[in-house]
Amino acid sequence: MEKPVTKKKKGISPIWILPAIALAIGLWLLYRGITERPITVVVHFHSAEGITAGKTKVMYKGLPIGFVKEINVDKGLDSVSVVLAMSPKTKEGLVQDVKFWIVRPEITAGRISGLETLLSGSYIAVQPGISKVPCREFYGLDEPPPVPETAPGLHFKLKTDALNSIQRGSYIYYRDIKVGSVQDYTMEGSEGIIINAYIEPEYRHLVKPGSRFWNASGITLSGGLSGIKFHMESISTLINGGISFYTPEVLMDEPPAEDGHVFKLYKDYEAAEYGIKVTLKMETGEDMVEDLTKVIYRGLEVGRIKKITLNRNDRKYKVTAHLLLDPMAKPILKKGTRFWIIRPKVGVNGIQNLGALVSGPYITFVPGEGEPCYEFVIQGSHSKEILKNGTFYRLESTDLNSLEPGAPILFKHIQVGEVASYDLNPDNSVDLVFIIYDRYVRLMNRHCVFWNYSGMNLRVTPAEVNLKTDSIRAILAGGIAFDYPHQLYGKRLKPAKPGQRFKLFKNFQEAVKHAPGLKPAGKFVKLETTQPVSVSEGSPVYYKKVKVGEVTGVSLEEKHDKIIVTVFLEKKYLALIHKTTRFYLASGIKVKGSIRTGLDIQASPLASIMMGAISFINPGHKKSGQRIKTGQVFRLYNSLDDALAADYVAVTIHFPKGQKIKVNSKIRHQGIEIGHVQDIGFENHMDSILVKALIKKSASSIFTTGAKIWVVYPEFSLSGIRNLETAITGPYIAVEAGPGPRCTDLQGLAAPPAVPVVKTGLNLIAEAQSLGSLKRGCPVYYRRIKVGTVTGYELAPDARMVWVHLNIYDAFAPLVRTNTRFWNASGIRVDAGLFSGIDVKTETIEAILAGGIAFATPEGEDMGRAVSQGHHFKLYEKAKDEWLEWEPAIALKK
Amino acid sequence: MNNRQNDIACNVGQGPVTGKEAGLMICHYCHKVVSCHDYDEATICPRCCATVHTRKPGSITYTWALVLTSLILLFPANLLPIMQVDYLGSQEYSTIMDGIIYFFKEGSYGIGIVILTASVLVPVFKIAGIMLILLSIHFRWKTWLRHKTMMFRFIEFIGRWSMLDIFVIALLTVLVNFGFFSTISAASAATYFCGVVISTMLAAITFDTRLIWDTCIPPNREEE
Repeated sequence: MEKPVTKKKKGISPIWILPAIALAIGLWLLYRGITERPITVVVHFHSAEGITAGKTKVMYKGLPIGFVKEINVDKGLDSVSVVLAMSPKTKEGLVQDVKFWIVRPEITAGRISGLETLLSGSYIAVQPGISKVPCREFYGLDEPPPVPETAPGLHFKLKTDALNSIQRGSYIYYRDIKVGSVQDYTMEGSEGIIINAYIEPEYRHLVKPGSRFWNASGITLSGGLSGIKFHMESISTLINGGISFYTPEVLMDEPPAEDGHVFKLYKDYEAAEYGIKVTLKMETGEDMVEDLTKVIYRGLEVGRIKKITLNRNDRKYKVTAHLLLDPMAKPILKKGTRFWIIRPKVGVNGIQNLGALVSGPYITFVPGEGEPCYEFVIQGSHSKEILKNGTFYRLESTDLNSLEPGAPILFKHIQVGEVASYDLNPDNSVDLVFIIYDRYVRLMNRHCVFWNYSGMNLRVTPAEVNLKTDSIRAILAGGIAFDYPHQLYGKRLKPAKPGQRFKLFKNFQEAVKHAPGLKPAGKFVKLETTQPVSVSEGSPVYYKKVKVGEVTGVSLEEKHDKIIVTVFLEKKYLALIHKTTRFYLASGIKVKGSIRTGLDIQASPLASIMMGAISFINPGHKKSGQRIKTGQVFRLYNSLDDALAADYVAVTIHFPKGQKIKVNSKIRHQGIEIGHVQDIGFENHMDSILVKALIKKSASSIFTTGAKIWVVYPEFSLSGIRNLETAITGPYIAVEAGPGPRCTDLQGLAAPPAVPVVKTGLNLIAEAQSLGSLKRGCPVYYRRIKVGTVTGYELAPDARMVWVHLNIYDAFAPLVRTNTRFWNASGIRVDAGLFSGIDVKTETIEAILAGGIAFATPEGEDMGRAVSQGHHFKLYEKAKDEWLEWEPAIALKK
Repeated sequence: MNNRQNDIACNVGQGPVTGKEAGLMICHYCHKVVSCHDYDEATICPRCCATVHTRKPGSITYTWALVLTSLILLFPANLLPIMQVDYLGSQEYSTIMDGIIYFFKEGSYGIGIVILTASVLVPVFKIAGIMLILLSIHFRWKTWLRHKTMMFRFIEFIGRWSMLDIFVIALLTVLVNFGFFSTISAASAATYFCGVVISTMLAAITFDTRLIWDTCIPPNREEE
C-alpha cells in the first residue's frame, strides 16, 4: 500500500491577510476611540429645561462641539448639573472663564431669538474664555453673556437719561446696517444710565469721537402747523429697540474712537443732529417751530432751529432761538453777519417767498465781517438783499402805498428791476430807491413815466376796497410799472442818468394824463342806457372774455335821463365793432334757473365781478366796411339776454284764466321751439292772463289773425301718455298759424283745439250717434292693424251727430273707399242667446281699454272710389259679419 | 447518544471506517468516489476533472483566519453607530444595541428579539461555535462530536439570517429619505457588521466537517 504523499505547504497562508486587515482596522478604531474620547465636563445650570441627555448639543459658532451626556440634579436640588461630552479638540479651550448658556426659542414682545431651536431643539452655547487655567466644572449662565471686553471690536459706553425700549441685545445700526449690539446697562447714581455697547471689529472705524448716537426705537412724530416730521427706523428696532449712529462727514478723517469712550445717547434722530450751535435773539417766536424752521442761505439749507427759549431779562428780545448750523457755515459766522426771518409775503407786489408759504417761514442771513461769533440778534426785514447787478434810480411818491423792498419794476409786465429801499424825504414825500437790472438799463430814459401798478386800481368804490383782501392782492401781483411814449420806441434816446429822480404816479390814468403818448391807439364810443349801471372808470370791456378796452367815463345826461358810458376801444380790436354791435353789462356772477330749466351760473372774470364790465356781441352777419366813428352811440343792454333778445319780436297773447304758463315757458310750433314767454301779467279786469312772448323773427310769420294758440299739458289716459316731456319741462304754448294777416296781439284758446289740423295722411269724419268711449288718440284699425288715430271730435253743426275726426296715415289712405264701412270697435261685445251660445267679439286690448274705430272695405267693384280729404262716413255701432269677410286687394302707398 | 458516539469511536479502532482510511475521496462537485491510493492526495476527478482532495485543503487555517477576522470586526460592528438618522437638521447616531433597546422600550418585544437574535446573538454564536469546533479539532477533544456537527449545521443554516440588520438599514435608507425633514443612512458599523457576517459565512464554507470526525482516528493510525 503506497503511502499517499503528504505535502506540507510552506509559509503562512495568504488568508491571514484578512484577520490582519481586520486587526489593523480594529486597532486604528481603538486608537481613534482613545484619542477622540470626549472630554467630560460638568456645567451647573439653574434649569435644564429643553435639554435632553444624549441629544442636546453644545454649539459654538454654529458647529456642534459636544453633546449632553447626562443630566443630574445637584445635591441641594437648587440646580442641575449637566454632564457634557466635549469634543477632544476643545481640550485647550476648556478654561476657567468659559461661559455656557442654554439657547432656547424665545418669543417675547421685545424680541424673538433662538428661533432655529424651535425645530432643532435647545442647545448649549459656549463662549470661549481667556484664562489659561483648565477647568472641567462650570456654572452656566441664564442668558447669553455680553461680548467679552477682550473681543476685537469697539467697546464703549453710552450715557442716557432713560433706557426707553433699549435692552440687552438691542442692535446698533449704522445706516440701517447692524454693526453692534447693546451688551449691558447699569444705573449710574440715581439718574444716569450707562449702556455698554459693542461694535463689531469690521465697523469699528465708523465710530469717531464726534459720532452721534441716538435711540432709534419707535416712531418720532414732531411738527406743527407748518409741517409734520415723521421718522421711523426699521421695524425690528421698533420691536426690539435699537440705537443708530452717524458720523458727520467732516469727522470722517478723524481717528476712530477708543475703547471705553463715553458717548451721549440722544433721545432721537433730531436731537442727535450735528452742527454748530448758534443763538439768535428775536423779538417774537411767532411762526418759529423747533426742529422745523430752517436756516437758508442763498437757497441752501444750512441749519434748523433746534430750540426756542424765553429770555426773562431781555426786554426787547424776549425769545432766543437756538440754531444748529451745518459745520460748513462756520466761516460765515462773523460778528457782522445779519440774520432775519423770511416770511411768505403775499402783497400787491406779488407773492414773495412762495417757498416759505409752503414750508413755513425761514431764517436767512448775510455774511458779515469781524470776529467769529455765535450769538446774534435778529434784524428787521425792511431791507432786501439785491442779488442782481444794475443801476439805481430814485422815485418820488406821495405815498408808499403797498410797495415794499423787492417789489418788482415792470416794463410791459416783465420785471426789469426791483425796489431796493425807501425813505421819507424832508418834505414828507416818499423817496424810493429802485434798481434796474443791467440788461434792461437801456429802457431808462428821461421820457419814462412811472406809475404804481398795484394790481387793481384803488379807485374803486369803498365797498370794493373792503373786498381787497390778502388773497386777492396775491392774485393780482403789483409793483411799479413804467413806460415811455410809443412813438419813441425804437428811437435812440438819451439814457437816464444813474440816480435820476422820477415821479411816481398813483396809477396808469394819472400817468396818462401826464403823458398822453402812453395810451395805445383806439377809439372812444358812447353807450347809453336808462338803467343804472355798475361800471365805473377803468372797468374793462371784454369780448369773449378778452379785454379789448375800458370804460373811461360814466356820466348822467339829465335831459334824457340817460346814462352815457364812454368806452375806449383799443385800435387792434376796432374791427370787432360794427354798427350792429350790441353792448351789454357783464358784471358779476349771474345765477338764473329753476328746477325745471336747470341752474345757469355765469361768472365773469374776477376783475369784472369787482369792477363791473362791459361786453358785446355781434349778432347777424358782419358787415365789413361799416366802421364806427369816434363818439358813435350804442345802446347798452342790461344783460346778454337782453342783447340777444333784441332780435326777437314781441307778441302779446291773451289767455283765459288758469293756464300754468310761466316766464320762460317755451313756445313751439310743430314741436320746434320758436320763442319763450318773457312776462306774464293780468289783464285789466283780472279775468284773463296777458302773456308777453318773444318770438324769433324767422317764426313771427306764424302769428297771424286766427292763429290757434293753446297750452300743452301732459295727458295721462288709458290710451297712453301724451306730451310726457311736458311733465318734466312744464307746459308749453303751441301755435298753429291762422289764415289772416300778421298780427302781434292774439287770443289764446282755453283748451287744445278740438280738431287739430294734421297735415299728413287722410283726414276723414265719421258721423256717430254718440261719442261712446272714443277719445282723441284712439286708434283706427284695419284688420286690427293700427292705420290711423282719432284726432278729435265735435258735435255736428246741427247737433244731430257727433263728428269724429279721423286721420288715416298716409300709407294706408288708399284703404278707405267711398263704400268703406266704419264701426266702433270699443270694448267687448257679447252676444248671448239660449240656442246660439255666447259669442264674444273684441278688438285689440288697447281698443278694449281705450276704445277705437275699425273699418273694412268691400271687394272689387263694390269698394267705390278713393275718397278725398274730409269725406264723411257713418260710424256704425258694430260690424256686420259680412264686412269681416271682405278681402279687397288694394295697393298701399309706398 | 453517548452510546452511539461510543459506537463510532469503537468502530474506528477496528478497521478502515472513514473514506480517508479506506483510501477514498469524494469529488466536491460531482460527488464521485475516487480512490486515492493510486494518486496523490490531490488528484483529478476522472468524471468531472475537478481537483479532488481527501479533505478541503487548508480548511482549518482558512476557517481560523476568517473566524478571527469576524471576531475582530465584531467589536467595531457593535460599538460604533450603525445607523444615522437626520431629523429636522439634527443628527442622531444609533448602534445596534441602541436600536434593540429602543424597540424593547417601545414595547415591540417581538421585533426587538428578532433583531437581537439576528444581529447580536447569531454572529456571536456563529463565531463562538466555529471557534469551539476549531479548538476541539486542534486539541482533539473527542467528546460531543455529533453535537458539534449538528451545531455546525445549525450555524450554516442561520448564517443567512444574520444579514437582517443590514437589510433593515438598507430598506430604511431608501424609504426614509425626506431631505431636510428626515433621512436615514448607514453609518460606519454597517460595513464592519457586513464584514462580520461575510467572514463567518465564508468560515462556515471553508470548514470541512469531516475534520471533526478525524479527531477520532488515533494519531498513530493516521500516521501509519
